[in-house]
Amino acid sequence: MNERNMLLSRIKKYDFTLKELNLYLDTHPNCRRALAMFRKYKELRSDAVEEFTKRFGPITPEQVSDTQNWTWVEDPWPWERR
Amino acid sequence: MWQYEKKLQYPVKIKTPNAKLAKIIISQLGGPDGELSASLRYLNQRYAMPYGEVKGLLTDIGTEELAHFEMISAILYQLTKDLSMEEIKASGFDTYFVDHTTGVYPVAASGTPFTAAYFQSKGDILTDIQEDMAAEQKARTTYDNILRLADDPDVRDPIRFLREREIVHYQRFGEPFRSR
Amino acid sequence: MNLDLFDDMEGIILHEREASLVSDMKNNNGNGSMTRFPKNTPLAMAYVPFQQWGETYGDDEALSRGTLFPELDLPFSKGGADR
Repeated sequence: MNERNMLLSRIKKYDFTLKELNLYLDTHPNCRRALAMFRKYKELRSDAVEEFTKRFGPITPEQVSDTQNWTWVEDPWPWERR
Repeated sequence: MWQYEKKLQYPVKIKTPNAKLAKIIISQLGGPDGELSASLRYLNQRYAMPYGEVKGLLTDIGTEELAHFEMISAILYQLTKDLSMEEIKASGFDTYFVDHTTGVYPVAASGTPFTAAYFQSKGDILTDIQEDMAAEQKARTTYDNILRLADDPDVRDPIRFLREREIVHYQRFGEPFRSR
Repeated sequence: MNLDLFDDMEGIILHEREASLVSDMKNNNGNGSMTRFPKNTPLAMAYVPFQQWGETYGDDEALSRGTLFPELDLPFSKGGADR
Protein backbone atom coordinates (compact mmCIF):
# COMPACT_ATOMS: atom_id res chain seq x y z
CA MET A 1 0.00 0.00 0.00
CA ASN A 2 1.44 3.38 -0.93
CA GLU A 3 1.89 6.25 1.52
CA ARG A 4 -1.22 8.11 0.48
CA ASN A 5 -3.39 5.05 1.04
CA MET A 6 -1.70 4.25 4.34
CA LEU A 7 -2.37 7.73 5.65
CA LEU A 8 -5.95 7.70 4.39
CA SER A 9 -6.47 4.29 6.03
CA ARG A 10 -5.30 5.73 9.31
CA ILE A 11 -7.82 8.56 9.01
CA LYS A 12 -10.61 6.05 8.26
CA LYS A 13 -9.65 4.09 11.35
CA TYR A 14 -9.79 7.15 13.58
CA ASP A 15 -13.01 8.37 11.96
CA PHE A 16 -14.64 5.03 12.55
CA THR A 17 -13.74 4.97 16.23
CA LEU A 18 -15.04 8.54 16.51
CA LYS A 19 -18.28 7.55 14.77
CA GLU A 20 -18.81 4.59 17.10
CA LEU A 21 -18.18 6.81 20.12
CA ASN A 22 -20.49 9.44 18.63
CA LEU A 23 -23.39 6.97 18.42
CA TYR A 24 -22.63 5.51 21.84
CA LEU A 25 -22.58 9.00 23.37
CA ASP A 26 -25.89 9.90 21.72
CA THR A 27 -27.50 7.31 23.98
CA HIS A 28 -24.99 7.56 26.85
CA PRO A 29 -24.33 11.32 26.92
CA ASN A 30 -22.83 11.30 30.42
CA CYS A 31 -20.34 8.48 29.92
CA ARG A 32 -17.03 10.00 30.91
CA ARG A 33 -14.93 7.14 29.58
CA ALA A 34 -16.47 7.46 26.14
CA LEU A 35 -15.96 11.21 26.22
CA ALA A 36 -12.29 10.78 27.16
CA MET A 37 -11.72 8.31 24.35
CA PHE A 38 -13.50 10.68 21.98
CA ARG A 39 -11.20 13.53 22.92
CA LYS A 40 -8.11 11.36 22.41
CA TYR A 41 -9.21 10.23 18.95
CA LYS A 42 -10.24 13.73 17.91
CA GLU A 43 -6.65 14.82 18.38
CA LEU A 44 -5.19 11.81 16.57
CA ARG A 45 -7.58 12.43 13.73
CA SER A 46 -6.81 16.09 13.48
CA ASP A 47 -3.06 15.39 13.19
CA ALA A 48 -3.57 12.67 10.59
CA VAL A 49 -5.84 14.89 8.49
CA GLU A 50 -3.39 17.77 8.66
CA GLU A 51 -0.57 15.54 7.42
CA PHE A 52 -2.72 14.02 4.68
CA THR A 53 -4.08 17.26 3.30
CA LYS A 54 -0.65 18.89 3.34
CA ARG A 55 0.85 16.11 1.24
CA PHE A 56 -2.02 14.70 -0.81
CA GLY A 57 -4.74 17.31 -1.07
CA PRO A 58 -8.15 18.04 0.42
CA ILE A 59 -10.71 15.67 1.91
CA THR A 60 -13.28 18.49 2.01
CA PRO A 61 -13.44 21.53 -0.33
CA GLU A 62 -12.58 23.91 2.55
CA GLN A 63 -9.22 22.19 2.95
CA VAL A 64 -7.93 23.29 -0.45
CA SER A 65 -4.70 25.21 0.18
CA ASP A 66 -3.30 25.26 -3.35
CA THR A 67 -3.40 28.80 -4.63
CA GLN A 68 -2.97 27.88 -8.29
CA ASN A 69 -5.23 24.88 -8.74
CA TRP A 70 -8.63 23.82 -7.45
CA THR A 71 -7.35 20.46 -6.26
CA TRP A 72 -10.73 19.41 -4.86
CA VAL A 73 -11.88 18.12 -8.25
CA GLU A 74 -8.83 15.97 -8.92
CA ASP A 75 -9.01 12.20 -9.30
CA PRO A 76 -9.24 9.71 -7.78
CA TRP A 77 -12.72 9.85 -6.34
CA PRO A 78 -13.59 7.42 -3.53
CA TRP A 79 -15.67 4.93 -5.54
CA GLU A 80 -12.90 4.33 -8.07
CA ARG A 81 -10.51 1.49 -7.40
CA ARG A 82 -7.05 3.01 -6.98
CA MET B 1 -26.27 21.01 6.94
CA TRP B 2 -24.16 18.31 5.43
CA GLN B 3 -20.46 17.94 4.93
CA TYR B 4 -18.97 15.48 2.47
CA GLU B 5 -15.58 13.86 2.95
CA LYS B 6 -13.77 12.50 -0.05
CA LYS B 7 -13.24 8.99 1.27
CA LEU B 8 -15.32 5.86 1.78
CA GLN B 9 -16.07 4.93 5.39
CA TYR B 10 -14.69 1.43 4.67
CA PRO B 11 -12.62 0.39 1.63
CA VAL B 12 -14.20 -1.14 -1.46
CA LYS B 13 -11.62 -2.83 -3.72
CA ILE B 14 -13.27 -5.26 -6.09
CA LYS B 15 -10.98 -6.86 -8.67
CA THR B 16 -13.50 -8.93 -10.61
CA PRO B 17 -16.57 -7.41 -12.27
CA ASN B 18 -19.76 -9.43 -11.75
CA ALA B 19 -23.01 -8.25 -13.25
CA LYS B 20 -25.03 -11.02 -11.62
CA LEU B 21 -23.95 -9.91 -8.17
CA ALA B 22 -24.61 -6.30 -9.04
CA LYS B 23 -28.21 -7.21 -9.88
CA ILE B 24 -28.68 -8.49 -6.34
CA ILE B 25 -26.65 -6.00 -4.36
CA ILE B 26 -28.51 -3.10 -5.97
CA SER B 27 -31.37 -3.85 -3.57
CA GLN B 28 -29.30 -2.28 -0.82
CA LEU B 29 -29.17 0.88 -2.92
CA GLY B 30 -32.75 1.38 -4.07
CA GLY B 31 -34.66 -1.43 -2.40
CA PRO B 32 -37.15 -1.34 0.48
CA ASP B 33 -34.62 -2.11 3.20
CA GLY B 34 -31.59 -0.48 1.64
CA GLU B 35 -29.31 2.33 2.71
CA LEU B 36 -31.17 5.13 0.93
CA SER B 37 -34.41 4.04 2.55
CA ALA B 38 -32.73 3.97 5.96
CA SER B 39 -31.11 7.36 5.53
CA LEU B 40 -34.25 9.16 4.39
CA ARG B 41 -36.30 7.46 7.09
CA TYR B 42 -34.09 8.65 9.94
CA LEU B 43 -33.37 12.09 8.54
CA ASN B 44 -37.08 12.74 8.04
CA GLN B 45 -38.15 11.35 11.41
CA ARG B 46 -35.77 13.50 13.43
CA TYR B 47 -37.85 16.68 13.16
CA ALA B 48 -40.77 15.41 15.21
CA MET B 49 -38.59 14.05 18.02
CA PRO B 50 -38.92 15.77 21.39
CA TYR B 51 -35.52 14.82 22.88
CA GLY B 52 -32.08 16.08 21.83
CA GLU B 53 -30.58 12.62 22.28
CA VAL B 54 -33.02 11.17 19.77
CA LYS B 55 -32.63 14.07 17.31
CA GLY B 56 -28.88 13.50 17.56
CA LEU B 57 -29.12 9.75 17.10
CA LEU B 58 -31.41 9.99 14.06
CA THR B 59 -29.23 12.70 12.50
CA ASP B 60 -26.02 10.74 13.11
CA ILE B 61 -27.27 7.36 11.97
CA GLY B 62 -29.11 8.95 9.04
CA THR B 63 -25.86 10.59 8.00
CA GLU B 64 -23.88 7.37 8.39
CA GLU B 65 -26.42 5.63 6.14
CA LEU B 66 -25.61 8.14 3.39
CA ALA B 67 -21.99 6.97 3.68
CA HIS B 68 -23.26 3.40 3.31
CA PHE B 69 -25.37 4.43 0.33
CA GLU B 70 -22.10 5.66 -1.15
CA MET B 71 -20.34 2.38 -0.36
CA ILE B 72 -23.04 0.34 -2.09
CA SER B 73 -22.75 2.66 -5.10
CA ALA B 74 -18.99 2.07 -5.11
CA ILE B 75 -19.55 -1.70 -5.00
CA LEU B 76 -21.97 -1.47 -7.95
CA TYR B 77 -19.65 0.83 -9.86
CA GLN B 78 -16.76 -1.60 -9.49
CA LEU B 79 -18.87 -4.70 -10.19
CA THR B 80 -20.08 -3.25 -13.49
CA LYS B 81 -16.85 -1.70 -14.71
CA ASP B 82 -15.57 -2.95 -18.08
CA LEU B 83 -18.23 -5.60 -18.57
CA SER B 84 -18.38 -7.26 -21.98
CA MET B 85 -21.67 -7.37 -23.91
CA GLU B 86 -21.63 -11.17 -23.51
CA GLU B 87 -21.47 -10.84 -19.71
CA ILE B 88 -24.22 -8.24 -19.72
CA LYS B 89 -26.51 -10.46 -21.76
CA ALA B 90 -25.67 -13.70 -19.95
CA SER B 91 -26.20 -12.29 -16.47
CA GLY B 92 -29.62 -10.77 -17.05
CA PHE B 93 -28.12 -7.36 -16.32
CA ASP B 94 -29.26 -6.32 -19.81
CA THR B 95 -32.67 -5.27 -18.45
CA TYR B 96 -30.97 -2.66 -16.24
CA PHE B 97 -28.35 -1.80 -18.84
CA VAL B 98 -30.91 -0.81 -21.47
CA ASP B 99 -32.27 1.99 -19.23
CA HIS B 100 -29.12 2.98 -17.33
CA THR B 101 -26.08 1.58 -19.15
CA THR B 102 -23.65 1.13 -16.24
CA GLY B 103 -24.86 4.26 -14.52
CA VAL B 104 -25.90 3.95 -10.89
CA TYR B 105 -29.65 4.30 -10.32
CA PRO B 106 -31.57 3.34 -7.19
CA VAL B 107 -33.80 0.35 -7.89
CA ALA B 108 -34.52 -2.86 -6.03
CA ALA B 109 -33.26 -6.20 -7.37
CA SER B 110 -36.74 -6.60 -8.88
CA GLY B 111 -36.23 -3.43 -10.92
CA THR B 112 -38.77 -1.38 -8.94
CA PRO B 113 -37.46 2.16 -8.58
CA PHE B 114 -36.88 3.62 -5.14
CA THR B 115 -39.93 5.15 -3.51
CA ALA B 116 -40.69 7.01 -0.27
CA ALA B 117 -43.40 4.38 0.22
CA TYR B 118 -40.57 2.18 1.56
CA PHE B 119 -40.35 4.18 4.76
CA GLN B 120 -42.59 5.96 7.20
CA SER B 121 -42.22 9.07 9.32
CA LYS B 122 -45.17 8.83 11.66
CA GLY B 123 -44.42 11.78 13.93
CA ASP B 124 -44.71 9.59 17.02
CA ILE B 125 -41.57 8.73 18.93
CA LEU B 126 -42.55 5.20 19.94
CA THR B 127 -43.80 4.31 16.48
CA ASP B 128 -40.85 5.80 14.64
CA ILE B 129 -38.27 4.14 16.88
CA GLN B 130 -40.03 0.82 16.43
CA GLU B 131 -39.96 1.34 12.64
CA ASP B 132 -36.25 2.10 12.87
CA MET B 133 -35.49 -1.06 14.82
CA ALA B 134 -37.42 -3.10 12.26
CA ALA B 135 -35.59 -1.34 9.44
CA GLU B 136 -32.20 -2.29 10.86
CA GLN B 137 -33.22 -5.93 11.16
CA LYS B 138 -34.56 -5.97 7.62
CA ALA B 139 -31.32 -4.49 6.34
CA ARG B 140 -29.33 -7.04 8.33
CA THR B 141 -31.36 -9.89 6.83
CA THR B 142 -30.78 -8.51 3.35
CA TYR B 143 -27.05 -8.50 4.02
CA ASP B 144 -27.31 -12.07 5.33
CA ASN B 145 -28.90 -12.98 2.01
CA ILE B 146 -26.19 -11.23 0.03
CA LEU B 147 -23.57 -13.16 2.02
CA ARG B 148 -25.45 -16.36 1.19
CA LEU B 149 -25.25 -15.50 -2.51
CA ALA B 150 -21.80 -13.94 -2.91
CA ASP B 151 -18.50 -15.85 -2.84
CA ASP B 152 -16.07 -13.16 -3.90
CA PRO B 153 -14.08 -12.13 -0.78
CA ASP B 154 -13.63 -8.59 -2.18
CA VAL B 155 -17.41 -8.24 -2.11
CA ARG B 156 -17.98 -10.12 1.15
CA ASP B 157 -15.64 -7.83 3.07
CA PRO B 158 -17.50 -4.49 2.73
CA ILE B 159 -20.85 -6.32 2.91
CA ARG B 160 -19.82 -7.88 6.21
CA PHE B 161 -18.90 -4.43 7.51
CA LEU B 162 -22.24 -2.94 6.44
CA ARG B 163 -24.10 -5.84 8.04
CA GLU B 164 -22.37 -5.31 11.37
CA ARG B 165 -23.30 -1.61 11.28
CA GLU B 166 -26.97 -2.58 11.14
CA ILE B 167 -26.59 -4.60 14.32
CA VAL B 168 -24.97 -1.69 16.13
CA HIS B 169 -27.67 0.70 14.87
CA TYR B 170 -30.36 -1.66 16.12
CA GLN B 171 -28.87 -1.57 19.59
CA ARG B 172 -28.65 2.24 19.54
CA PHE B 173 -32.26 2.65 18.42
CA GLY B 174 -33.38 0.46 21.31
CA GLU B 175 -31.55 2.56 23.89
CA PRO B 176 -32.91 6.14 23.76
CA PHE B 177 -35.45 5.92 26.53
CA ARG B 178 -32.69 5.21 29.01
CA SER B 179 -30.24 7.77 27.79
CA ARG B 180 -30.22 10.34 30.55
CA MET C 1 -52.25 22.62 10.80
CA ASN C 2 -54.01 22.61 14.10
CA LEU C 3 -52.81 19.92 16.44
CA ASP C 4 -54.80 20.74 19.55
CA LEU C 5 -56.32 17.29 19.37
CA PHE C 6 -53.38 16.45 21.60
CA ASP C 7 -53.79 18.53 24.79
CA ASP C 8 -50.56 17.25 26.21
CA MET C 9 -48.37 18.32 23.26
CA GLU C 10 -46.89 21.09 25.42
CA GLY C 11 -45.57 18.57 27.91
CA ILE C 12 -44.21 16.52 25.01
CA ILE C 13 -45.51 13.37 26.69
CA LEU C 14 -47.78 11.62 24.29
CA HIS C 15 -48.07 8.24 25.96
CA GLU C 16 -48.57 7.00 29.50
CA ARG C 17 -45.90 4.43 28.84
CA GLU C 18 -43.50 7.08 27.68
CA ALA C 19 -44.15 8.99 30.91
CA SER C 20 -43.04 6.11 33.10
CA LEU C 21 -39.89 5.62 31.02
CA VAL C 22 -39.09 9.32 31.21
CA SER C 23 -39.32 9.17 34.99
CA ASP C 24 -36.94 6.22 34.93
CA MET C 25 -34.58 8.32 32.81
CA LYS C 26 -34.77 11.23 35.26
CA ASN C 27 -34.02 8.99 38.23
CA ASN C 28 -30.72 7.84 36.82
CA ASN C 29 -27.74 10.20 36.87
CA GLY C 30 -24.72 9.14 34.87
CA ASN C 31 -24.24 5.66 33.58
CA GLY C 32 -22.79 4.03 36.67
CA SER C 33 -26.28 3.55 38.01
CA MET C 34 -27.89 2.44 34.74
CA THR C 35 -28.98 -1.15 34.78
CA ARG C 36 -29.50 -3.31 31.70
CA PHE C 37 -33.26 -2.88 32.03
CA PRO C 38 -35.28 -0.16 33.77
CA LYS C 39 -36.92 -0.98 37.10
CA ASN C 40 -40.31 -0.48 35.53
CA THR C 41 -40.92 -2.19 32.23
CA PRO C 42 -44.46 -1.31 31.17
CA LEU C 43 -46.19 -3.74 28.88
CA ALA C 44 -46.57 -3.10 25.16
CA MET C 45 -43.09 -1.64 24.75
CA ALA C 46 -39.96 -2.91 23.02
CA TYR C 47 -36.71 -2.92 25.02
CA VAL C 48 -33.09 -3.73 24.35
CA PRO C 49 -30.67 -4.25 27.23
CA PHE C 50 -28.85 -0.97 27.85
CA GLN C 51 -25.22 -1.32 26.83
CA GLN C 52 -22.70 -0.47 29.54
CA TRP C 53 -19.16 0.70 28.88
CA GLY C 54 -16.75 -2.24 28.77
CA GLU C 55 -14.02 -3.62 26.56
CA THR C 56 -13.26 -1.90 23.28
CA TYR C 57 -11.33 -3.06 20.24
CA GLY C 58 -8.20 -1.22 19.11
CA ASP C 59 -8.88 1.15 16.23
CA ASP C 60 -7.53 -1.23 13.54
CA GLU C 61 -9.67 -4.10 14.68
CA ALA C 62 -12.72 -1.90 15.28
CA LEU C 63 -12.81 -0.78 11.65
CA SER C 64 -12.18 -4.30 10.43
CA ARG C 65 -14.91 -5.82 12.62
CA GLY C 66 -17.39 -3.00 11.98
CA THR C 67 -17.78 -2.05 15.62
CA LEU C 68 -15.72 -0.68 18.52
CA PHE C 69 -17.46 -3.05 20.96
CA PRO C 70 -16.74 -6.80 21.13
CA GLU C 71 -20.15 -7.25 22.81
CA LEU C 72 -21.85 -6.03 19.65
CA ASP C 73 -19.65 -8.03 17.28
CA LEU C 74 -22.13 -10.65 16.00
CA PRO C 75 -20.92 -11.99 12.63
CA PHE C 76 -22.86 -14.04 10.09
CA SER C 77 -21.78 -17.63 10.09
CA LYS C 78 -23.37 -19.18 7.01
CA GLY C 79 -22.87 -19.20 3.30
CA GLY C 80 -20.01 -18.67 0.85
CA ALA C 81 -16.31 -18.50 1.62
CA ASP C 82 -15.79 -17.04 5.09
CA ARG C 83 -14.53 -13.46 5.66
